[in-house]
Amino acid sequence: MTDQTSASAMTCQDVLERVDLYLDRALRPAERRAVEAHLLICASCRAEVEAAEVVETQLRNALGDEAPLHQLWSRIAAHLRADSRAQRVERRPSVWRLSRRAAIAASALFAIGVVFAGRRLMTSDIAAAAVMRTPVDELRSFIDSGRSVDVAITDPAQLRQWFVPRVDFAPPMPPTLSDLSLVGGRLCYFFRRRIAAYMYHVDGHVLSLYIMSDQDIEFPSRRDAMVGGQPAAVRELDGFAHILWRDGKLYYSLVSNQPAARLVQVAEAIAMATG
Amino acid sequence: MTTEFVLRDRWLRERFERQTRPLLAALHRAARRLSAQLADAEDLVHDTYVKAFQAFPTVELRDDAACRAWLLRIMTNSYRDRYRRKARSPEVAGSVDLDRLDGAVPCREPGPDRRLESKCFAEAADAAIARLPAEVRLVVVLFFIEELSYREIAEITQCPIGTVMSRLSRGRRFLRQALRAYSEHEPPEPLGEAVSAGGRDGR
Repeated sequence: MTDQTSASAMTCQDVLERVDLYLDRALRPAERRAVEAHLLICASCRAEVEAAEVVETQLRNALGDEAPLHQLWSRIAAHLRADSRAQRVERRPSVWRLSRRAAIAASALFAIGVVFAGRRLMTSDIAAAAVMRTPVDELRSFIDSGRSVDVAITDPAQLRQWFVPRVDFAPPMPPTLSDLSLVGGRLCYFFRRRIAAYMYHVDGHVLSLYIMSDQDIEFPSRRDAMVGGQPAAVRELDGFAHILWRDGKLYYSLVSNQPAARLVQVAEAIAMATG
Repeated sequence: MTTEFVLRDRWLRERFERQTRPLLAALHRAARRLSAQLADAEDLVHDTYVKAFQAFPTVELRDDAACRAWLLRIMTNSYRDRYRRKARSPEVAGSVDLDRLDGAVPCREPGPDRRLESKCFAEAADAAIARLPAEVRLVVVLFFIEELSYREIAEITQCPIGTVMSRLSRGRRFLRQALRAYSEHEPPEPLGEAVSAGGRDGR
């Protein structure tokens, strides 16, 4: 390499330290001219700069590939719709539509409520109506869209392992029952949290077992059945049945387009298998 | 639930989709190189959109560039949450030590017949980027894939510009060394022109 000693000229070391800024055209004009003057007389530095430029040009071209994204967008859009619905149900009667005087009164009542109810009202709980409605909408949207599962793993241990880094809780092993056929899993997002969904086929129906943390989710006050010794809420909505129960810090939400009575039996078997 | 709410939510969602959907491909390209697996990349993009949608009513986005920067900032934060969580996991694979550039030697030397194949280069590029430390990888991805300036990267990553430049420089040095063997050695243009043109567009 040519080593320039003149005060105005650059050494090879000076040039090599400036390769990035030179390639990015981020050098000051005088510095740039000095680099170029050096490159004209130093074949070694010139080769370095050229090789760097070739590699970076190829790198940019190589990284610009395109993947088919329709499925990904469908998945995102479905969650945005579900999230939107959950937030809508979550909203309490709208203070902003009341008259000013009524709004003030409502605010005062709310403040009194906060004082008496303490921490519970300080959190923004997901209302019971949304808790029962949203998983049904989610499964329905999944079936209507014709999407496939996120991961088609049918081995319970491997499927659980797939979820471990993706959710914020320790997911239980997917239950295996003789009449349930495990087909894979989906990572869902509603109620402002990540939710593990184990997907099954049973008697020609799709069945989704959503498992989520119970934080800030209001359990419905009605107790319609007992599942695994715990009170469970059962709803039939739009041709789907939904059963919700709690085990420790987790909610289990079982949704299928099966009759509710049949689903309660399945839920009981699942609760026994996971318990 | 009232019709008024339904219409307002639909309007909001449609506005969000109109503004953000064109950026899906760009976000996905970046996420692919920030994540070890394709499924992880899709999760990262998915997470970014869901978080963005929740924050959407509270932000004012002047133009497309502001929207892109906002989404990239959300994705950056999600990426950091993930790699920090993974770092606590015992299964995490170590990244290369950039101070010891010996680590830059490609794991698989290309055969002479494959050397000129761009696929081979692309695979080597993916493998080399995956070996960068998380914060260096982030800056490299924003620079090479999103083609952002130093200042834009500093704003998105919320780091001083000097830190960005230093991380980028280390990452570039590593990639050049790792990918040189895979690169076509033809210079892009005649020598004199290369010197006088002096590289790429300004930053």
